[in-house]
Amino acid sequence: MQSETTDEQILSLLAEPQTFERGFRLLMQQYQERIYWHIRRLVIEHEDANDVVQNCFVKVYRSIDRFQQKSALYTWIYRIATNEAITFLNKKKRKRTSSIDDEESLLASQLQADPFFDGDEVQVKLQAALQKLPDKQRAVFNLRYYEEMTYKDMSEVLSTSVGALKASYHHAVKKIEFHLTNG
Amino acid sequence: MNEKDAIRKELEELAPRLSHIDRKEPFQVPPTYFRELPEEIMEKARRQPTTSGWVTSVINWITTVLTPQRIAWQLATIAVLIAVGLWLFQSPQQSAALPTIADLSVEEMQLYVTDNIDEFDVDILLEESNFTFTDVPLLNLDSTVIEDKYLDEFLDDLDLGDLEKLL
Repeated sequence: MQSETTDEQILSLLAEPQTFERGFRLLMQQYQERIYWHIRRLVIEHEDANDVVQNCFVKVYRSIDRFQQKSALYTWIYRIATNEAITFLNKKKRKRTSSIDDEESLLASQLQADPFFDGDEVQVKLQAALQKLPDKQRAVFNLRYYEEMTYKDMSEVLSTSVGALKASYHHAVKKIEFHLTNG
Repeated sequence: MNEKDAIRKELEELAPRLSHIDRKEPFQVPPTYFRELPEEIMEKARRQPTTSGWVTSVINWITTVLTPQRIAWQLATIAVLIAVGLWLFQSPQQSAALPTIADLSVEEMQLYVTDNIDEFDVDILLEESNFTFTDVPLLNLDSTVIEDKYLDEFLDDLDLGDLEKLL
C-alpha cells in the first residue's frame, strides 16, 4: 500500500498555500493511475471514467483542507472515487430504458468493439459476470480482486464493517464463479 | 504469508476457475492520457469556484463546535439558563408588584366590567350573579306589533333568488 512517508510529504506540502499546488501535483502523480483504473472498472467506458476521475480529483482539491487524517490519505481518496463512480452509475441507470439482459449483451458487443478494451473471450465473460453484481458489491470485489486491498482498508473506503465486507466478497466470488462455469 | 498471498489463497478456495484467470488489466487508455490528465484536472479545479475563506472558516467552526461532548455541554448550559430564567419570572417579587383583586373596591370592579362588557361571557356573568329571568319585568307589548317587526326584518334579509326558489 501507499508509503506513509510519501503521504506525509504530500500533506505537509498541501498544508502551506505556497506549496499547495506542488503538493497537489504530487498527489495526482501518486494516485491518478490507481484511481483511474478503480473508476474505469466500475464505469467501464473510458470517456465516463475520465469525467468521473476529473470530478474526483477536483473534489479532493477543494476539500483537502477538511481532511482530518482520521484515515490514510489513500483510503480517503479511494472513498471519494468510489462514491463519485457509484453516484455516476446511479444517474446513468435513471436515464437508461433497456432491461438488464439487453445491457449484458450490449456490454459484450461494446467491449468487443471498444478500441480501449484488450480482453479475450474469458475477460469479456468475466466483465459480463461483474456487471450482474450490484454496484457496491462490484466495488468490494474490485478492491479485493484487482487492488488486493486489506479488509481493514476496504472498511475505511466503503464505510462498512469487515465482517460485512468478507460476506459480500465471498458472495460476489461465488456468483462470478457460477457465471463463468455455467454462463 | 503476506496479504497478497492470503488474498490469492482465499480466492483459490472460494473459486478455483476464477483464480486461474489472468488478472491483467483488459482495459486500455489513449497513449498520452496520464500525461495530460493532471493539467486538465488543475485547469478544472482552478476554473470552478472554490469555497471562500470565510465559508471554510464557518464549516471548520461548525465541525469543531458540533462534537458530541461540546453538544452535551451546550445543551446543559441552555437547560440551566432556561431554569434560571423561569425562576426569575416566577419569583415572589414579581407577583408582589402586581395588584390583587382584593385590593380593588367594588366601584372599581363595576366600572371595569361596564367598560369592558364586550370582553365578558354574558352567560357566565348571569350565572355568577344568580340572575333569573323572573327578575325581569314583562314588557307589555302588542303581539301583532312584534310579529310585524320580525316579518319586516325577515323580508329585508331574504334574497330575491331564495324567494324565487321558495315560490
